Amino acid sequence: MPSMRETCPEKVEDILRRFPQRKSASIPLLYLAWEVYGYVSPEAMEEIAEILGTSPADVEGIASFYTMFPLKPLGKHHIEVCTNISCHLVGAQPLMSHLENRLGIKSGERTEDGRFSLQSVECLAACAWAPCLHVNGKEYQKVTAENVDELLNSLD
Amino acid sequence: MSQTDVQTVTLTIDGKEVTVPKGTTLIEAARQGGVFVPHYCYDPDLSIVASCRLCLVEIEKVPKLQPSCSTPAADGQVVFTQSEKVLDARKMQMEFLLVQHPLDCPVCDQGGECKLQEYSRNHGYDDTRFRFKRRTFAKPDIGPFIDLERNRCILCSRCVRFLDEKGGNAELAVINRGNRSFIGTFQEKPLRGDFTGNITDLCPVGALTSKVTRFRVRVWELKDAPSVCTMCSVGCNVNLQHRNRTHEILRITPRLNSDVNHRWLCDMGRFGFDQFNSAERRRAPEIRENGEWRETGWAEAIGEVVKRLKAVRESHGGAAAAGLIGPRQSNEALFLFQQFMREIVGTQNIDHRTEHEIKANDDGFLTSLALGAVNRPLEEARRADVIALVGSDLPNELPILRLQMREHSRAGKKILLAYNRPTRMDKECGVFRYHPGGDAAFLAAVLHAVVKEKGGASDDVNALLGQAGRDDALKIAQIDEAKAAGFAQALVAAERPVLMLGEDAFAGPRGVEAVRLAAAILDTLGARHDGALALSLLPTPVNARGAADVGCYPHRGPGYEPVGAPGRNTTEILRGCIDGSIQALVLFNTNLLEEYPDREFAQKALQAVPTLIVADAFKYETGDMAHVFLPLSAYSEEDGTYTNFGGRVQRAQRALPQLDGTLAAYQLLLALGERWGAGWRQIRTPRIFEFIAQAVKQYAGLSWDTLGGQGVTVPAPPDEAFSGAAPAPDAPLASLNGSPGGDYPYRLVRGRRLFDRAGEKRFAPPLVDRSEPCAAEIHPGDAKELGLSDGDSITIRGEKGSAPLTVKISSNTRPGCVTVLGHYDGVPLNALAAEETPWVNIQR
Repeated sequence: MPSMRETCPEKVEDILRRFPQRKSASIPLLYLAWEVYGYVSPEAMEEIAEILGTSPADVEGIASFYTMFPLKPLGKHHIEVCTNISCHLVGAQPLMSHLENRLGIKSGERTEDGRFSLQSVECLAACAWAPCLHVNGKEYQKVTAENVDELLNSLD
Repeated sequence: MSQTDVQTVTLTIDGKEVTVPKGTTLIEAARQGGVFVPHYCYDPDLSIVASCRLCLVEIEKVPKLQPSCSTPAADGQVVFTQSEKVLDARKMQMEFLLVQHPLDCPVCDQGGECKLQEYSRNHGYDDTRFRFKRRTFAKPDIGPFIDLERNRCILCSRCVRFLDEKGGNAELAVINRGNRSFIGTFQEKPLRGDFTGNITDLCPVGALTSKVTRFRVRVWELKDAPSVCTMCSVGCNVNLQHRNRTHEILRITPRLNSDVNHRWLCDMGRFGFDQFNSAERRRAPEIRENGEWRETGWAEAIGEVVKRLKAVRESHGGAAAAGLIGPRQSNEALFLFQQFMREIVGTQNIDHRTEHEIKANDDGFLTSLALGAVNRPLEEARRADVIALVGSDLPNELPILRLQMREHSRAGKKILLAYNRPTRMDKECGVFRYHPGGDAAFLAAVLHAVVKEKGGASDDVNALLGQAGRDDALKIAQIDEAKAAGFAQALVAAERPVLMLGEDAFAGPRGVEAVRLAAAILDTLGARHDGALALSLLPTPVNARGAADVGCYPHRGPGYEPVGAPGRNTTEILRGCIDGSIQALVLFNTNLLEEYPDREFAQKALQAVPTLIVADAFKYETGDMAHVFLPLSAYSEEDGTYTNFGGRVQRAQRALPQLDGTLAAYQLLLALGERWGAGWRQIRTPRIFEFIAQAVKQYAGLSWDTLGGQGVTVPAPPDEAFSGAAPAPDAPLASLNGSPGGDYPYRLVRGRRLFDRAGEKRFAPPLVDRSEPCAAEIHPGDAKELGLSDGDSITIRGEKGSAPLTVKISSNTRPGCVTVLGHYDGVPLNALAAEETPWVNIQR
């Protein structure tokens, strides 16, 4: 896979220009890696270490500290289900169990065909329309174990 | 700085008044006042994180407890480290630290020296109230040296900080966050640093322990023997930890000596001890008769050696005998060796330089002494503001000096590194690259630039410049004039520059020239302090300096005193073996066939000589050619002194009794002298050292006792030892260099590697595990031309022979070169071509 410096050198340079301390560019570069590779791959972490003059272990330490950086490849449809208190009260758990059964994966995993990945997350700021979930960042409201199949079927 | 310049603060700790320099932390102030504050994450040599919260103390008028490791001492502070509040907090903190700990002390190697055991006993509860499932981790494999057991880790992050700040490339990190965090390498890859063993010392619990020592011993069975490491010439102070019952060295730990290694060791020195326990060591003298080896007792073997040497002396005279001793023996053995050869056998044919063809008796090292070089690399680096290294792959040659260079670099000193390929310390240095073999040419180019920059060259310097023309120098070194000028400018701008030459520069075929050029550079810069030139050479064998000091030369005796009629050097001795003028050769502790740069020549000599006596701990291929083989004890089994590359004489005390059937080199030499009827008798090391102190002027006044535990640095030899010494002949650079061509279009470059299979390293399985595979490194352009790809099998052929190797394509090697890093048994690189003409071809 081509590196970030090959595919988007101007973005890398732009990020580096913003930070007088090189190491401070770690997080923006991790976001860029996510954008370029679809997740933060080991190769990307090695490349970031090289760009910043730090070590790959150091970059992995930062990437794994922030739980929202995906360190494994995501599915084509990445489903994030809120399991926080408001959603929990109105059926987030049955929704999660249903998705796990239907897709045959646990939270944090990806289906073998690579179509779906599932992740339980904290509050998505849609408590008025709980339970809610995100598919590739797009918000779906009042999703329950009963109506979620409709949503899944609509995804290609 | 005088005492009055330092601002101090006075405070009270546990009722005791303490005065410390401003900026001192409370934990250090307490220590100075004799109060110990328990701690995990704090370490005086690492940065401060204040994360373990065990060192909390109470400060009067401060509402909350403060971590003493990160709180600076202030005037008038009243600190309590034993108040009820503190003890209570400590107890709670211990309980938290133990929440996830498995308490598997009975099977933990740290048991007995564990801070967790110690503090929970002294400051905590003796049981846990945590009734839930502990988190557990599968065990990762992080390489052959270090065992990582995450379940025991308390996340103090000392290991992470050490590898980041001191001895590594930040190979460890805290992965994940909060209660899920753990210590790990990137993607669970093995540790590949040179100093990873130090994290086993730093780890306060059983999370990081030595895989080499694992499950072989409980720490309370180990006894310490204060010694020095013999793997390189830095002479790190170590404890040889051993168990007499099983006659084993089981662990090597650093012994604090801030003038040498401080408290750090490299992995080669730390994990190589299984060579002493090796089953390959010989346990009985052997005599070869009619091609058959026969084991025998010492009485017969010593009688046989004396009989053979006496016969040579009577029939051909003493000068028909010769002796070579490896510079790895103790001063005592080296001294007695030359004494035995000179006074008893009656020959000056003595040398310790077995790794190079000797062109001039006064080689690069002796030339440096004659020119007044200070030769104290560790001290000089500490005093300098600009440190220039030429011809040294420091990380692969002298690891602890490299570690200190890293600290110097972090402290803002400028380090210039000129070498023929990238090294592992390039990041910390200003890098200058020249062509292999171009060490002297590079120095010549720098000298030209320094003279141009600074002017005022002496007549001697001008003469040298006349012989080594600028254009020739630039061409041979293959560097730009601007690059050489950059190196020169950094030296000219320095307040206190020092120059250090590695073995590639001073010990190879152009060694004498390199030293003279380096000296000329420093002379022109006026870099002299108390009369000594700021030049230090960096030999690698442990006792190279000692061998020189005690007189293992054909032309110089103890203290560098010139002898009347010089004997033969290594190269002349081997030539004498072939032409019949040498009838008996004694080899101590040298595997000449592997070490000498021309294997064919050495082999011919060893085959031809009618009497070959070999004494060594292992037999090697050289031992196989002997008529009498004498097994020596390991250095861990004899007392001795070693002189490091900076002239520091240090004691190594024996750890174990001698392996049955072996003799220490010094005992063997004394026994030979006794049997000869020369009036020698068995004496102990301190007594031999007295003789050395009498014979070697610089050692005058020293004794086994005055050396103490930390050693004493001896002065440089007096100038008069070198007065009248003929200056080495100079030759223009170009005519000495030669070039590849015809049937042999490539240059064979023999590089260094810390973890290879040279000498006794092959008898330490952990080092063998760690060693990287032997490969022929070829530039991508050359590989393309030859149609080679990574991993291909090839044959490298020179004028004299060939060796099978696998290809590794890398731009670390220059076009037109084949680089092989390290020494490997079974890959005789010294059998391909002569040292002067390393030209080879590559065949599929």
